[in-house]
Amino acid sequence: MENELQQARQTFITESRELLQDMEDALLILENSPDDQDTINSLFRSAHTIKGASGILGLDEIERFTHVVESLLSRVRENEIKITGEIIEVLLECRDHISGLVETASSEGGVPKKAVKRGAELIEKLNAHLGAAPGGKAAAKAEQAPFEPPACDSTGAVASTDAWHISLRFGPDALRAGMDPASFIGYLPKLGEIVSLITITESIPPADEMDPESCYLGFEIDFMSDFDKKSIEDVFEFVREDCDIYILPPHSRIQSYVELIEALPEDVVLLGEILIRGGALTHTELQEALALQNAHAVKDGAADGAQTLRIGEIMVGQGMVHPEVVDAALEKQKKTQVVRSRESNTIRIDAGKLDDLVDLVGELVISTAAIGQHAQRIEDAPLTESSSIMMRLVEELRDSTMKARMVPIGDTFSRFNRMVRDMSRDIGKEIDLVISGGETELDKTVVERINDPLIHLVRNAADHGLEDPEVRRVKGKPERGKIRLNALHDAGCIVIEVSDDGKGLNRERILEKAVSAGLAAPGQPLSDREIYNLVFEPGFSTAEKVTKLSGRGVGMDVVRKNIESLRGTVEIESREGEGTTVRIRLPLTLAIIDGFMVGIGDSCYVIPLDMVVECVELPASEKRDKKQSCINLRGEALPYIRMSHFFNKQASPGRFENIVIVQYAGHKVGLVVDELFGEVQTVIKSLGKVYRDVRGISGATILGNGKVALIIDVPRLIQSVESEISAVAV
Amino acid sequence: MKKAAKKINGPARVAIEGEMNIYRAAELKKTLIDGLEASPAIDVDLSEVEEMDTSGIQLLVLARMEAARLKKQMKITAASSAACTLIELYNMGEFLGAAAAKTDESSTGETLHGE
Repeated sequence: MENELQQARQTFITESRELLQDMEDALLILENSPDDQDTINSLFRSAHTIKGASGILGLDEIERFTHVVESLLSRVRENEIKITGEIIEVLLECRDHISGLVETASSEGGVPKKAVKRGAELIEKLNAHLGAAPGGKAAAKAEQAPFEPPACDSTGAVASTDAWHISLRFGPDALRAGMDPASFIGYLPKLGEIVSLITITESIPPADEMDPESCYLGFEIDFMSDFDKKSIEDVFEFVREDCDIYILPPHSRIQSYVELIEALPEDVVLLGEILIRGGALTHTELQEALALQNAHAVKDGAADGAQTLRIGEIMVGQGMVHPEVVDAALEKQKKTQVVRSRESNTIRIDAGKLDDLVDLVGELVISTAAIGQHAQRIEDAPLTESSSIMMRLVEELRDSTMKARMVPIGDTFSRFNRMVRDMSRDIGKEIDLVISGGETELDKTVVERINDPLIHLVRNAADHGLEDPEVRRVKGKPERGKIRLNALHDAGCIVIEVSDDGKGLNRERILEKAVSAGLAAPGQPLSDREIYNLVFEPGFSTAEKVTKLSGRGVGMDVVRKNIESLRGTVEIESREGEGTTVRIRLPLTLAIIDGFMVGIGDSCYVIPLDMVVECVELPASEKRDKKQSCINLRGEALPYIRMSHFFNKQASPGRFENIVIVQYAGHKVGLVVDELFGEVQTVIKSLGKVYRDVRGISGATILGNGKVALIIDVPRLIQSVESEISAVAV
Repeated sequence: MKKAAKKINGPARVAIEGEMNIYRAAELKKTLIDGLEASPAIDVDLSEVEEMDTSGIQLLVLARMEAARLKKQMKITAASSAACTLIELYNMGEFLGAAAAKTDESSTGETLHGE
């Protein structure tokens, strides 16, 4: 049970994060269109939900604080308070404060003192706004926040209560099976508040017939809770089989209560009284219910006293429950539930479980490859056929598993709206953030880990890239600076661009600084690209000095390190006076790729298939044992690297050497290998820390025959060869 | 694990000690019903009940209903905190006449009459 509470808190944190994000989005929308009633409503609902859930979980600080926010929002919703920039500012601060509080919810330590103080300050601000409103007595008053009743079909009235109604009839064997009703009911207060509980003892038979080990009890409970029906049902999960459970959501239609009354074994009068006593129905509602019930009875011809409306005369026994009514009731409840919870479309899965699944699929891919190889060796036709079918299925399984991990990057991008907005206030520049390609999907782990580097880059762009408004005016640029976030797919990679239309990088200053830091030799001829990429060098980023010099480079080495740890690369393009673009390339996934297997000497290597353009035979003229050179490929000079040299293989080159042409970030390079094996599914295994700095290798994989093949890291291979060539050129 | 049904010029006192759960349900049912049959009124003392489950509550309800049927009296004179917790959870205090019957008020438990 304790565990479940912990789980409930975890769910609360996850959901609150989403709600807080919604709130932030809503506030940013309101900033531009303060009269958008839908947005105001959604803002209010988010706050209300957080308040409710935190109350249930006993997170008092959050509940108390959110309550005040909610009060303000409720007044806004009633058009009593007008949305102003100032209010939005305060609400954004409040949102951040709630967000901070939510993050502390997982720890038992409670709320830090500092946060409590901050909360008090914000409440004061909120109260100032509340007080300023007409009839401003609301500040201290605990306002009852009316939650809109869920939409329901037009027929039939709706009960006015806010509480859930739970009817429980435990089966006779519940106690013998060790299911004590007390433990289930005792758990309910963790999800909400029991408004009323009435124990139904009518089923207990006379003493001599009563079996003391059987359970005869039933319960009618009215229960206040912001949890959804599923969560409440889950409390009774273990007894679901031998217990009749009816859960009516708040504001259920009177019709549903009729069906409940009909479904339960007890006397109608008694049940009616219980419903009134518990507050589930008012007297009028009950009358209406019973009238409806009579109408039913007439229709079904099931009750004799159907015409008389006196409730005392209608008895509904166990035997008279109409199955179709129960069915209809269930059906209707399902409908309401669809309206109530949008969760039905998505399932929340613990990311760890998904990781496990991906791992398993990875293992499956390896063992399928092994089976495929055996089948080929045995040369058994049916076996080969079924193994190839299996391989295809495993491939599909792999793809859909990987897809399940893919999330659009848009959510990550949209968080920058707020950041850019705040930054533009802080540094006094007007900035527009333009987001495109938000629907581009990539692996969840990658998305999570790309966030920090992106923050860095956007901050840099705003702080150092964009000029002050006056400078921009003088230069004839629009005063509002523009930062663009873009994502797109490109050859098995995802490309993320952060660009600005600012002043661009100052080539000379970077070079100057690089020379003084010993990163480049004086007089060394460097291309623009090489110079710009110097800002990613670790020695380059010595804080303010650099900021003054080039206006760039704060922590850029950290950015590159983060990106490289994701097996990605980063480069800068810049035009002086026009702007800078930082381009990040990331692999789509970190776990499984399609590979192209080649043999170099007597070992196997895997090249990521997405990067392979074509394979050609090495012309005889190039057969000399050269380390690297160029060939003429259809009139184009193609540089190539002899891989056996690169990996220092001693073996003599095979009779036929092939060139695998790979492409990365616009570069085409040939890799000379001894043998071509073809396509393999590759489960990437990390090589561990020891081999992290080995150039040209990004990981390893296990082949079907149990051997290990190294995976060639094409980007870094190209880089290292390029730098070697330029070193030679000097 | 002792119980006593004594007859001292008035209500018989039935004291239940230790567990009042499904493992002893059959035994305790007999104790309570026998107690009721033997005398016109019984006082049930739950002050030594260490553990109570739903079967325990059910027996108290049964005894209460049986008393009403036989037009006899039954009251709970004292209840331990374990018993009180469950009785309160089930909102049965009023029905069982044990709302205020905490251990230390054992003598003031109100008498219940069958209707």
